[in-house]
Amino acid sequence: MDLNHPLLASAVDLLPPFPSSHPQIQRLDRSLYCQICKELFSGPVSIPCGHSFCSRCIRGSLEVMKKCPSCNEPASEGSIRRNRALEEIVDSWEEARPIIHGLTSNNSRKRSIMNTGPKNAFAAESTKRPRKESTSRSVSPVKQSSDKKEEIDGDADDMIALDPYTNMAESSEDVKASCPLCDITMPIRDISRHIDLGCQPIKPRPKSQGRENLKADWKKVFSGAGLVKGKDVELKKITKPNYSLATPAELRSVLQSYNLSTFGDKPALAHRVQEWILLYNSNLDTSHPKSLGALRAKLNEAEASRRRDKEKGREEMASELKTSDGLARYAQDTKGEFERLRREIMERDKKRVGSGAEAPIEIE
Amino acid sequence: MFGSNPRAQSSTATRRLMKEYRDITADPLQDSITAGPISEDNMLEWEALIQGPEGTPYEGGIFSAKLIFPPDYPLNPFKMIFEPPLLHPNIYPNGEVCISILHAPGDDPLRYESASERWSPVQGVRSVLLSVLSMLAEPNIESGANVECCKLYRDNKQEFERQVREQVKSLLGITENTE
Repeated sequence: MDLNHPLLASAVDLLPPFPSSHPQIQRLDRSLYCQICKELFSGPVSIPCGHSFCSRCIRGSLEVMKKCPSCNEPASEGSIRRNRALEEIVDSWEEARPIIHGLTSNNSRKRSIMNTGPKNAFAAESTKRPRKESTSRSVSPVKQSSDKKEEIDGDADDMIALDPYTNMAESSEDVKASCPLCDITMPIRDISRHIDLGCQPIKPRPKSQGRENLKADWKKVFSGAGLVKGKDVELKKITKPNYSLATPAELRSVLQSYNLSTFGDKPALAHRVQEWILLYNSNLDTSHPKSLGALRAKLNEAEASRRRDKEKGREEMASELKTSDGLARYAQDTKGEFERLRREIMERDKKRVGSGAEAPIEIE
Repeated sequence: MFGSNPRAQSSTATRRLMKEYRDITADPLQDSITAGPISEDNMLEWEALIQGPEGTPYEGGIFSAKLIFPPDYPLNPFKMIFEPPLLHPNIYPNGEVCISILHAPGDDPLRYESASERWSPVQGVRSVLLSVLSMLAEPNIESGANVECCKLYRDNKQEFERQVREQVKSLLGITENTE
């Protein structure tokens, strides 16, 4: 498979599977996949029968049929409950997965993996699924669980409070090692920051500033500065309108209240509202929700890809019509339709002439 | 024709199909089935090759089928069309497979099939192809697609099997004379 192809590019971040030599781990891994999208749960929820799915997946499925996709027990959107334990498990598995994957895929390299732990974590970081863009995580697996709360906020720029690298390897203050990527020698404690910055030279951090920085950072936390993006997520689910009764104006006002495009006819509007409610409501079922801006971008992207599909179809059609073969085939395919239309017009004209009414078009 | 283009998000479907494709390649179904997208430009069209199950008149044949996925896959099932059409009670004369697992949840007004046999998003290419394999071995004439073929199967099974074998041979390019 050529993974450089644009179509497949979206799928390159699929997680690598575990080798069949470790069936137990394969089973553990499989059990954390949503049965609908076949990816790791994102915002997992449970329905009354006890089955769990991604919030987005089951909400979409319940719109098509009001049953559990696995066991056909009746289910409805109102009965969806967040599964916080499962979410925690999936989150920790997502962090642990690259490490365990490294261990299983090459036992002989075990030692070197242990040594280049940060490197592996870095690789994992770059292949992470989009919802993880909110990482301001440390690379040390031990520390990761403790700074969970920071995930809600945005980019690494908003990184609040403690530098995650400060207490990594405190004991080895003066030990030097070479970077696994570019082989430059530097103190061990700087390596992970160096890799995260794309192998830029690391300036020694001024130690004296520590206290003031901490103070300023805490100030930021209390003033809510680091949470700007999370702030506009209201914690209320949108109630679905009745799409068959709603007027285009009503749909437009819903869209307007969320700053969405109000362009298009009623089916297009209804589709947009539906998709938005799906995105919005499922976004409330996770402990690392995205900002409304990110959701909007996602909605636009989906619409753009749909439009692209449409245009692609048209282009294909047009290029087909350009070839004489294609034209002949098109004529063949639509011959019946053409004949029907021709007959209809002939009959209509005949009727007009027959009834003696003044035909608006003179037929010679 | 211009308007027939899908108007739903394709990326979800594409992603899921990528995943299914990778899983099928990594862990082949059985030796008797392979499947994959025809071209990388369009993940929504696959080709499947199925080997006729042993102990059935289809034994020895290799049948190719087209899988056509809707843009809202996996919420709705895909279509499976044998090319060229295969003689079988549950395959329409145009080659389309009629099997309950490929029927959308909401289009059975007669309530003929129980809901548990219908499509649901947890199904996938793998489970459907396995069902088709068992369908080849055991036709279901109660809900036939090809009525003539159903009748033949019910009234004169030997003739049915002879015709199938003949078809298998001609598909493989072997005629009676060369044997």
